[in-house]
Amino acid sequence: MKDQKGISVEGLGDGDLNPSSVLSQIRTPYDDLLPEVDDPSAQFYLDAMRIYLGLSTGTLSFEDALGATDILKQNPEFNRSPSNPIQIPINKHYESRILENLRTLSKFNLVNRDSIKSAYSFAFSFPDAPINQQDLDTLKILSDNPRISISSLAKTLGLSSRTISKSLERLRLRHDIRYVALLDETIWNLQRVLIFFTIKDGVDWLSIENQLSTFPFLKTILKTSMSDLGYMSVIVPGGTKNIDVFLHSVRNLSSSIFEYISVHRDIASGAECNLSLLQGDKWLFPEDVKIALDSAQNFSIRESPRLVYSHGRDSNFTQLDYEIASTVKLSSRASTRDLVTSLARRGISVSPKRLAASLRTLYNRSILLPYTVFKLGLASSLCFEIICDDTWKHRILGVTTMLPKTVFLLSARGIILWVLAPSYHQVEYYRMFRALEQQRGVDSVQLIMTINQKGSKSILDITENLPFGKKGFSAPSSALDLGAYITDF
Amino acid sequence: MSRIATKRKLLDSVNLFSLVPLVFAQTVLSSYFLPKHLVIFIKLNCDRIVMCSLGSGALKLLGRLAINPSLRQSQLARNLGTTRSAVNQLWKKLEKYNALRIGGILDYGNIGVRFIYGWAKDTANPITLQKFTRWLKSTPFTTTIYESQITSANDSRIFFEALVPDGEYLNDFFRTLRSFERAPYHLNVFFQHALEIGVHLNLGLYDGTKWQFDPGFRLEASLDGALPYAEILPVSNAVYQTTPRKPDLESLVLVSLLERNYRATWKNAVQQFETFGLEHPSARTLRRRLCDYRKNMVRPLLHIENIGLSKTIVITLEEKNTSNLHKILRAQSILFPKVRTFSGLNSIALILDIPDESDWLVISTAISNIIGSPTKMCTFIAEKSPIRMHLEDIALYIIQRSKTK
Repeated sequence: MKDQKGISVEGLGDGDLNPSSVLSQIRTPYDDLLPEVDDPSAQFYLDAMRIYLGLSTGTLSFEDALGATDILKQNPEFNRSPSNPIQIPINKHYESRILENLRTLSKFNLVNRDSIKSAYSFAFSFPDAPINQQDLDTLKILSDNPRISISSLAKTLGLSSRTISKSLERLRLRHDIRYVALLDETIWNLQRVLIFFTIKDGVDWLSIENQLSTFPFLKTILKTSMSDLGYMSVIVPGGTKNIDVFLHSVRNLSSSIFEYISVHRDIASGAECNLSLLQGDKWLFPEDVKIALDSAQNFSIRESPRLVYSHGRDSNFTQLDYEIASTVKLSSRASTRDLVTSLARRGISVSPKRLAASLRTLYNRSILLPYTVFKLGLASSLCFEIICDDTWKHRILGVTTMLPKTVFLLSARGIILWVLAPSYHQVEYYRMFRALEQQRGVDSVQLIMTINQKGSKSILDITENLPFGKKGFSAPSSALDLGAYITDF
Repeated sequence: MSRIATKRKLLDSVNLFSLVPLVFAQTVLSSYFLPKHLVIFIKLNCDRIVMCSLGSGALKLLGRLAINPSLRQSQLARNLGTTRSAVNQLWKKLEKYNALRIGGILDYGNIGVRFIYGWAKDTANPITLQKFTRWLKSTPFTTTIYESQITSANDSRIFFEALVPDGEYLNDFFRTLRSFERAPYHLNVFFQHALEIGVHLNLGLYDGTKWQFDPGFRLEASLDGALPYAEILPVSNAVYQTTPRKPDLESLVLVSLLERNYRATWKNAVQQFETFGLEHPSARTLRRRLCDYRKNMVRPLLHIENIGLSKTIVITLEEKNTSNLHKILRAQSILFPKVRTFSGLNSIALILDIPDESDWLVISTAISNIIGSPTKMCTFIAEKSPIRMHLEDIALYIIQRSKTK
């Protein structure tokens, strides 16, 4: 029988449609390694592993995995740690790491949430296989133009389309390459707000995190046990009034919960990479960035980074355009047919022609900015919050095209940089950016370091039940009062 | 200038200036046919080429020594089923290329000395930390300083170790440390005397060229899995530090010699007394004392270098020594390739030597996941060359000062 999300479940009786029990019916050859737990938050990660293993071993179809993931998202733990197993490339490396970590859990008889969560996240942080020259050349072109067709790619590289297809497959399977996009959500009256914070002494972070995760507009929280500093990313619908309500509620909480708060409203964002730094399997350190960040040196931007600006509400863009854009955001190289199917799965019917027209406008107006996601040995994620003046924003923006891989967000107060770096250059990047604090015009540089980039909720999940009108998405102002969700501290 | 100050100055200058010609030499040589594991190594007293990889014979020898460093070459030969001459040859090679040495670890309280460890972090003013570091380098009792390259707390830190004679010297040392906490410095300083010192070298993880060390989930799971058994897990190769007793100069001289060279003979002892400017007892007495100290005061310790552990990580945790976390870090330090642990009443520090390819951030993440609170813990990558003084240097200072009084 199929459950409400269309997942085929063997041996499941009528009425037995509890989400956890539905997911536990997914069969994999490694079921004996998956422990039984009572804690739903621990179960979340086991279910995520189960879905991944089902996909990788072929016991779960992609369609069923999509349905399973929708059920997985019902687990409250998803809000704390938005992990989507179907977005992770299916390959034997990840599969064997998951199995190895499951065996380690069993060996040490660990069944608590933290251990299982670690088993899951550590499975996806391991050194990449070296990339061959042909695949690297393919990737270089894709990084500049993620939407380039296979035939154009083949022509540019002087290779056959078949060879390019194989290259793309290798890039996907071996090197975790994904094609996504940045989106100007303000077109539909959705404002991204990033808040960096530290917690007051004595405040129980676990409890706060649990309560924060119930805030329906939370996209992601990142706070590691290594550092006091964390951040949360929030999508605020409904325009200026609701943004003010939200920010006011955050400031109210600062007297009781937050020691430090630093708010950034997204003015523009971008993503860049510099694959010329990759020589063989080693990344070179971009010494010229050090020079570029030295205020004593004259600096002019060699290559401007591509940006998505926050334009604000444009009533020419409908909710359908939003659905299309948000779907493409997750997979910018998806074919028209795949996008139509994807939308149909969510009950949205659109013709290929309409879809193509929408995409053309979105790209031409720079509302969507495609980019490639890859690891390629960039094992460390360094998130720098740099509070600085416009001159320094411009300067730092200019160096993003010289760094191995960055995603960045501009606000009125400064720039947030997520720099992916190889572990052997952690110290160099750290020192290079921390040294900016000595520069006039830079107020502060703070850092959060992680070994994996934290996942975030899809914007579609956040806006699923929001009303949409002429002014775009809206929500009652009371829903934006963060204080209403954090009551127990 | 005192011998200690001269040594410190020389250490600083070697690090800075000796590097250039040797890096050039390495670049030239490595462009030819030299195997990857050949490295140019810089030491204080001579520049020499050393081998990083070890053959199976060397590994077996070191494996035996790691378990029992007091084994003589004849015993090793019997153990390994080979001749003493072969062991001697291997030993000399290891001495030359890997600085093999049998030193000692001891309860410093027996010679009237406290082992102090601690750390300081800068909040807003890095100059204050520099001043603190300068003071540490200038005191005759600081044995090691680790300066951070990058820390998990996003600040700058100094970790230090000191051997300080009990009494007036110790009071002065603490007084100065505390003065850095007040105006005008307002430095955040934490220090304790060690209740226990541990040293572990896990050669079982080493195959001669590479270390099998997984700093990620396996490390975290091993620590997490052992937590419920923290009370009963044994702590091996650790020396409890007793309350210092009144030292006598003779034991100071001999113990400091044994700490450097566990196998020191009575002739070495005579030389030591002469260096210290003291009259030495008879050969018979010296032989008896050395034997006695080996039996009761100094435990042998294997020292080996150039085995691919080129990165140093410092982990500090403010946690009562009665807590399970504290106990587990003491007991489970055997998970690491090479580690020194210092355990005090309210804190524990681990100095890890790990392979260069091991990711500090992964280790830091794994351990912080167990600890759960960033306020109590910090990990950092240390700068490559800590200043290192030995008990001998401190003993010399104490004896010279006692003479002038």
